[in-house]
Amino acid sequence: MSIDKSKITVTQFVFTIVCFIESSAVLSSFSVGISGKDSWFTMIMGYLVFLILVFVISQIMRRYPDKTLIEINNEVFGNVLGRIISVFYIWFFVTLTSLNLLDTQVFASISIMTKTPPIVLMATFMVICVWALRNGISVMTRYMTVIGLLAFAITVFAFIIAFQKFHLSNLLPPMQQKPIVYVQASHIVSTIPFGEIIVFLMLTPNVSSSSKKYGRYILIGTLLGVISMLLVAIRDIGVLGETIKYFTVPSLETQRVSSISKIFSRLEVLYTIIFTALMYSKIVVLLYAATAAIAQFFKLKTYKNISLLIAALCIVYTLNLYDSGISHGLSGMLVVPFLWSFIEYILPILTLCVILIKSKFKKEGTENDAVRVNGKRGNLSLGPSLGN
Amino acid sequence: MSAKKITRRLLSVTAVVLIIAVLGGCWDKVELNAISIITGIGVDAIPDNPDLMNVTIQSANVKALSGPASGGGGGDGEAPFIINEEQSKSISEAITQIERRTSRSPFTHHNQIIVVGKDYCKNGIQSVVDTFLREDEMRVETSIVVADGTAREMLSVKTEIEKSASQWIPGMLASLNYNVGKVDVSVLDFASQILKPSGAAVIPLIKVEDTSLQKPMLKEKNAQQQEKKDEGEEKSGEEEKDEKKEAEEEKSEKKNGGEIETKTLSFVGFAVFKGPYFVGEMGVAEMKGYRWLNGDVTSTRVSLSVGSGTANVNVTNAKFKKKVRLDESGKLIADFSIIADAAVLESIGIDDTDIKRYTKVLTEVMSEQIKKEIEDCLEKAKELNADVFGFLNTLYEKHPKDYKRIEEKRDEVFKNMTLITDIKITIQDTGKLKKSILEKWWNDEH
Repeated sequence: MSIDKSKITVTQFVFTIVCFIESSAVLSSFSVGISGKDSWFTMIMGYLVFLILVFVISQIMRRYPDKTLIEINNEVFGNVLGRIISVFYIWFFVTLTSLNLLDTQVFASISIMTKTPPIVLMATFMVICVWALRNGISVMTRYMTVIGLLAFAITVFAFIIAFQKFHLSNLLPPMQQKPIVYVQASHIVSTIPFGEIIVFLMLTPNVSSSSKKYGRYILIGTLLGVISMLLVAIRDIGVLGETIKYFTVPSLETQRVSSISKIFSRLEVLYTIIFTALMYSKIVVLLYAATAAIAQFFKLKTYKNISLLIAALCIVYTLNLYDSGISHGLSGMLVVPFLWSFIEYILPILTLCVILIKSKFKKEGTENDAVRVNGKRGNLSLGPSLGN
Repeated sequence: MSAKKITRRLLSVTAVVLIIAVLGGCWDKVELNAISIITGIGVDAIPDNPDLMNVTIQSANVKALSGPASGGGGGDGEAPFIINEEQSKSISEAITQIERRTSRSPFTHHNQIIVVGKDYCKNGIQSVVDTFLREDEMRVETSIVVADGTAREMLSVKTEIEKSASQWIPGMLASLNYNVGKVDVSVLDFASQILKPSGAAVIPLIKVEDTSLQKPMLKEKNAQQQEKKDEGEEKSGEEEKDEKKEAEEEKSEKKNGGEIETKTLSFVGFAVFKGPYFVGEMGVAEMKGYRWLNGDVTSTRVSLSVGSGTANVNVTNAKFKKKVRLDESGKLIADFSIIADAAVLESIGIDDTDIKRYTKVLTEVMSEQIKKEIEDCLEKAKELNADVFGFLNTLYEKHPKDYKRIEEKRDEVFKNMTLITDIKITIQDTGKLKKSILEKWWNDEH
């Protein structure tokens, strides 16, 4: 049972996922720095790997449609082990919130607000997120449709205006790098951002859908998001060419370079606007997941009372995560994908395996009960049953 | 309404106002009268000190631009720009040092042009490329040109029509892009080109010249000076002192934005680079071939000599095809074809009674001429060992396995490459005249 009783429509849910994925399109430098002009290919490969997670999540949600991730852990693994695993997830949600907050702050500090102190930026941003959060999940996701569609429209517009500087030859020749490069880049993409969809297991009980086809909703949302990501990647490669590997924010440079004569120029402001909106939509979902998870873990009646506290902790955590942007970048390429793989892929697969094993034993137990009932006339003997 | 509710509302409104102020960028406000808008940056070599560079910063003189005399070109008002110079190890250091003696902080977001002196290029332009790609305030799409002379001189002149070189040069390059073909090169274009397999790139070469009015006056002045020299007139000590004082005053006036001579800037070719190092030049003659080979021709005029006659033809709608392959021996062969339309603009002394024969003759001569321009340009590129046309890049993009075979010796392969050209130009019209009205005077001696 979700800690927030309000309901959201399927459209809001899907577009929340779209915004979640699109926000990562604008910060693609983790994988682009490795795969360079083949990053469009590694994106597709990463998405194909992610489909495994979609299958796993849909199977879990099919069996526990009205439960959040924390409750599922308790159900599947029992109270003790379930809570230990929930701690991993809570740490993951809080860290993800902090990392995305750091990305937002760094981007704003570099590009538009160079003199504003980072803590002021982060605090004001988090106040807005907490404000939305305290009004409930329906308010939080109310504008996701608008933001998602606007972001897609701006992506398409940006692609059109970049066409003058677009050279198809910059995409050639494809796949000339060592196989390990593609493996590494695909691994990064499958964990950042696709694997982060696991946070939506905290929101699925709030979706008002009779069919409960969560796997389909996640698939549609991520597919729309990945189309946007591919457009951005192809545009950036076509415009920047060999230099794409060297820029920290390639999309920003592409927007700076793009123009239609002198009338529409210096359009990086569009990118900045949509980036801020998308990062808000991502951080608010992550903050909700973290707050709701902690509230459920500690069996609180409501998550709203602790939202400001969690937000403050996230800010402090953000300030202490990395000592520099360089270590953040290196960590994102070399360390984080492995950590996230454990939480985003291994734990859910383990959860599903345990669910399947339990349900198999439960089924066998039920069959044995039926045999015993039929065998001994009138005597009911209840054998051991698992999974209750 | 209870006191608690009122307090809550007041706090909410205060919070909203603060959030809007912070996230709206009020903390980062920059007043217009606190910044000095840099419009051009120039870099020159210092002859006695190769470790340092002479950085020239051209800033907009807002007072002169906004005042009533700003529209006049007579020089009665202040110059529309301010020049600051500094010798330093890098452009960023120079800007920091200039900041110490100005009342406004330099603002490089609106920099229009980067001018690099030819002498500086010979040591490589790594510093310029890295600074403009790396620094957040610098924009990667800023155009870069090489000054056939010094960057300081180029940025210090006033130009006709536009107020300064930093406005003139981008305008000229944009006009050439539109009318002739792509000549404008930004820092990003240059960086992308040198990272490709051929590693070669070109940058427009611009020269400061006297205006068409000044040229006869200057000629006269030079002639007078030569006469004096020939007659062996010795200048008196006082005359020499006067001349020196005049020259110094002129220099200081120029620096302070006083009466500055109006000059013109001409596009005289391309500076060729291999990586960040300058390797040579392509003049106007080779430039034509370069544009053909790059497929950048939107429209161009070709002057033809046909026997004793001449013709001028406008070539348009050009379509290019470039195919590159390696033969079994590893020799690079490029098949290059041009299909275009042409219109006769001028025709004197060429027999045009039979229109079919006339157009055939013109087409043949035109094809030969274009082929020669292309071959001359290719020879020059081979001489400089710089594949500025991208043959090696095309081989890498279309046949990466073949490219890997010759990667180690690609320079040698480029030098020995063969170019097969196929030019098909169709004369679509002969202008408003079907044939020349001046036929009966062709053979007249005048």
